[in-house]
Amino acid sequence: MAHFEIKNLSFSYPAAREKKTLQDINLTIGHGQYVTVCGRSGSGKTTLLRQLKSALAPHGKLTGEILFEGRSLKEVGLREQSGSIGYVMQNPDNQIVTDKVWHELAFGLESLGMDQKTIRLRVAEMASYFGIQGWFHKNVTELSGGQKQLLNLASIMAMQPSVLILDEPTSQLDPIAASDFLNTVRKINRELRTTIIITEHRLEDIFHASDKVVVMENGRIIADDEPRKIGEFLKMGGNHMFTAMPTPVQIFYGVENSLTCPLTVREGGDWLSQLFEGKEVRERQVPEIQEGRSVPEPDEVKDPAVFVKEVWFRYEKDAPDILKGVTMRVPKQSLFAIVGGNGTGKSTTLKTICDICRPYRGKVYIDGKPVQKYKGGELFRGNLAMLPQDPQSLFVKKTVREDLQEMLRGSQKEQAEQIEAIAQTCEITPLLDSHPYDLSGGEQQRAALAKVLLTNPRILLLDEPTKGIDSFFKQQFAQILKRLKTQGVTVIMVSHDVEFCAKYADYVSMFFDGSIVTTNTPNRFFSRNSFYTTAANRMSRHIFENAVTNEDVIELCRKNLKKN
Amino acid sequence: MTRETDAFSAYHPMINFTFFFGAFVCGMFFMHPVFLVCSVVFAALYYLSIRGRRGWRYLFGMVPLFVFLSIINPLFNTYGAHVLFTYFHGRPYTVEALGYGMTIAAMVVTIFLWFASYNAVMTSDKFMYLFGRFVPSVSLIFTMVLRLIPSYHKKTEQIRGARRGIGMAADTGTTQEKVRQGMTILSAMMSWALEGGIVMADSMKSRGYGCSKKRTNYALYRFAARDKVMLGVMAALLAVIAWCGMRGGAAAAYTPVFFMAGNFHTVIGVTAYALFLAIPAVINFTEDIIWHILRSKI
Amino acid sequence: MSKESEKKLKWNTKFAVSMLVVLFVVPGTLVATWRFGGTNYYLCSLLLILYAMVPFFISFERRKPQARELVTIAVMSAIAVASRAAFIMVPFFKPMTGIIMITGIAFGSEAGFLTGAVSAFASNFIFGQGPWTPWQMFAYGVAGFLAGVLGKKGIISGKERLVTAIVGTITVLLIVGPILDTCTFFTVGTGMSTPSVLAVYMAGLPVNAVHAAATFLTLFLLGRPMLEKLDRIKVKYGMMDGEEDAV
Repeated sequence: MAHFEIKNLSFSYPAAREKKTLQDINLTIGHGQYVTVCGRSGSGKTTLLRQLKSALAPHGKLTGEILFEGRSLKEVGLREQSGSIGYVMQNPDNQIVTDKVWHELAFGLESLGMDQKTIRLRVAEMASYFGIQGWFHKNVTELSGGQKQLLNLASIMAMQPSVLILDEPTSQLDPIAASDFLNTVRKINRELRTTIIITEHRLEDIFHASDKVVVMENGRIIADDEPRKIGEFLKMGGNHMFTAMPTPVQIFYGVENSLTCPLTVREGGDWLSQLFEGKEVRERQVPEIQEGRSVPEPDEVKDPAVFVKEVWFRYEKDAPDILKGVTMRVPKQSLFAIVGGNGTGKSTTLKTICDICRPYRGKVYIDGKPVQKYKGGELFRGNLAMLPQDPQSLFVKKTVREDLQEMLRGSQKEQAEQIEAIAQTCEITPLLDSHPYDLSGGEQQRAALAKVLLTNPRILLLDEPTKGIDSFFKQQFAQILKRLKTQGVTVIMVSHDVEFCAKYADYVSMFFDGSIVTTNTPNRFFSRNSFYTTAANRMSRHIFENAVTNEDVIELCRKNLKKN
Repeated sequence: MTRETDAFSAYHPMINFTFFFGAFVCGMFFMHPVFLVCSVVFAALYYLSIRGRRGWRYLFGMVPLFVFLSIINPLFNTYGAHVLFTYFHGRPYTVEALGYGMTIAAMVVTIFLWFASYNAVMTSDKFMYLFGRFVPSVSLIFTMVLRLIPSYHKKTEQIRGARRGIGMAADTGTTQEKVRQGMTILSAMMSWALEGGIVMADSMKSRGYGCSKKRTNYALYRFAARDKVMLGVMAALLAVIAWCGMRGGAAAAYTPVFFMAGNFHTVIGVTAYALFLAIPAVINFTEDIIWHILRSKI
Repeated sequence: MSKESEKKLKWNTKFAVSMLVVLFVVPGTLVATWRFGGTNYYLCSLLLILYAMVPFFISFERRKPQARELVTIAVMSAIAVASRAAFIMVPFFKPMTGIIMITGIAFGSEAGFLTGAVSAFASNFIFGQGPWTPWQMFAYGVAGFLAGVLGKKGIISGKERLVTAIVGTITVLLIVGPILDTCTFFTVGTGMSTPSVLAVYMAGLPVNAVHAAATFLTLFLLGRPMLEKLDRIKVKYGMMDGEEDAV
């Protein structure tokens, strides 16, 4: 008997009677399977997942049938469902109900009316299994994002569900916390035989672990197969979801060959070795300078847009130093990326550049002029603007249009023109009259960018702009940044997204322990690193010298294969 | 130096609460000077045993309050036989009224001191544990509020920072601009909070809230043997105090002339009262000594 | 059971509890305090205040509130407490009462009362409990309750923003402020006499005036947008309104 069986399921929200959010869904999920559901934002993934748990199912018109262990889901009581169907949502913060870690672990068990003894045992079990003992007594506010999401997972597992549904659980986490979390999910699947149904933007960590990948588009399931076949399907169909596939898959289908498709970096490396077995690899390098990228040595930059000179900063007099002599020169009209671990001071650097944090030693120059000399808001009028990590922090009105208007002075007509222009740049024209909170993550990002751009900045600061947005929106965002660069804007970006930086940045700086360790072009930067680098580089470094993006690897493969 | 662990706090919340309840009620009831001295001294002593050296500052802060409340009473109340001096064309300032003022002041200081210790000992989860069972829904609301407040503070700061980053701050504006800015930030924070609230409600429903007839209340506390003993001791002492109080052992009057009881019941009552109030301070000091001995043996 | 009879039953228990309190418990307390406590106004008044609040809590608990009702009250209370943080650059500006009253208007008198009481209690967990805690709970609870009653009658709403703001000001000046002053009086007050009562209330006046001004501004400037936000949530998620769940 299948764990879940979905038959001819269609669903539409009451507001949009014509458009079906889900259409003719048929899906069977077996006990203990690991199922990945992927698709662009708005393809109906979340709606589908929510239908699998009555307490979370949105209101609307539903036809078709969902069977849970052979019974209609409607007949399975809410009480039984809350125990046996676990659901982890996207935002780590909002799912937490109580103020203490131990209480949160017990919350579900309390709701089911279990007695003290049972709860005590279950909580102890969970804390031990998930390694929570160290922060068992803490307030939830003291936890990091990764810990919070782990707590959410643990407090659901405490109810001993037979199936675990996860809706983009790691989109708000940094890569290290994200892969920790996903490893734990895999462990649960392997050790406890819990069925896993998961959606994710970042497929690198889960694609290879899946028994089955389901691809959704416009509310339909367009593919439902084992992972190795999914890549082929998407490639053949020219589907945009292909860009979300893990690096080895993308590279595999970029090169003509008849081997089996690799899913992990290790398999990818083996595949490359196999590909070139007995063949001479003549071209080992891609040209370092690519078209459209300016590359003077960063240390010799003349007339930098931003010059940070030996900056030291700490939040309080007795607090430890956050910045320890940061020095960087950002050339004009470049995309300058700062990468590095959490809490190393990357975001603080951005704050010192825009004078929100004042260094106690060292100076920041904007266009050669010390930042403090910009008086009375002059800095933010036509010079500098920052897009915060959480774009929602910028929304204060009830429509996107009103939010943009907040930035403008002048007549109605002028305002309307300016809004029209900026909406076009950021590709948000159809969204202008929506409520900012009704937009998807990527749309919010662009709406916030539009608001920021209305100050006409020559220098744009971005704090993790690609966090939580899907591959399609990322590309769209990158195109906007490119366009801005040609208009004379300098972009400084703090990011965890190694792939994005490798592909689009002009310079990459490694930040560690309060200062910049090295700055280089992405090509040199990533090809010289062996851990902190792209998947493409890791799988190809034993054959090619400096291939860092998927395109680099594909190009080199093609060149070499052609010559042979 | 502040104590990391207050030994009395480690007792069962019921013990903690019973003690403070007894201390509050007695502190507000007894106007007999000897009882009052007991109240103030032991309240201060326990506060110091929790706070250590830092506690002195708060204690000294109580002195002007005491003086102020004492001297102000005779200005409003003119009863009493012994006139200290007259002012405003013959309005009397009496010894009895001053005495009564000091009594009230001592009570206020006592209550403030007990509350200062109470706030350190009776953390929110202890309070919820004790009273949550009577009002389970309201107590869950409290837990949620305590969890939300810090995250709303954080979000408010994020919004303020985000607005600074696009030059929309009002750090140097007029008061009117600052108020408007505050309203904008608050309104934005509220939008965010409401969206989060929906997820929170989903998360509760998803984990079975409201689909079981009775919700249980899990707690980490256990009522150990020493708690039973302590509860017995406290109950006995409180009974003795109440009995002596009923028998007039704590009687005192300020009008028209000063009077205070001084009989057998006073002696027993004061002794029991002092013993009761000394409990937490004694527990703290005993533990210090025990640790000292244990350490010296190693 | 039909909704009508359910309502009746609820009303009946509420009524019975209230009658019990008014007829027996209150006089009992008064007698007991007079007999044993002498001039102990604080304890007596404290008990009376607790009696006034108990029926609200009991009827709320008996109703077995849904998750979203709890969340509504929790979120609004936490906003009320945290709201001060948005005004750190404006000294003494406390929008708490305004937000509690907005909650009352949007969700009715019960939610208003609970939000007020919970906010006061929770904020004291941050700033320290004291003898004033029950009084603050009561005072803010009454403000929320009153807003709920007047809101239902249509006297105050998001549209009538000037009227709403004025009602808020009056509530603070005549109800919330004086209740808190009474607490001060009973805690540190020294005997009942006309001048001492006057002195305490006069001393409280400037504080209450600032409080009232903040409430006026909050309701005037934020009343409408906040009520719109709450409406949006009601419409978008079918949440936080009184209706039962469809599930």
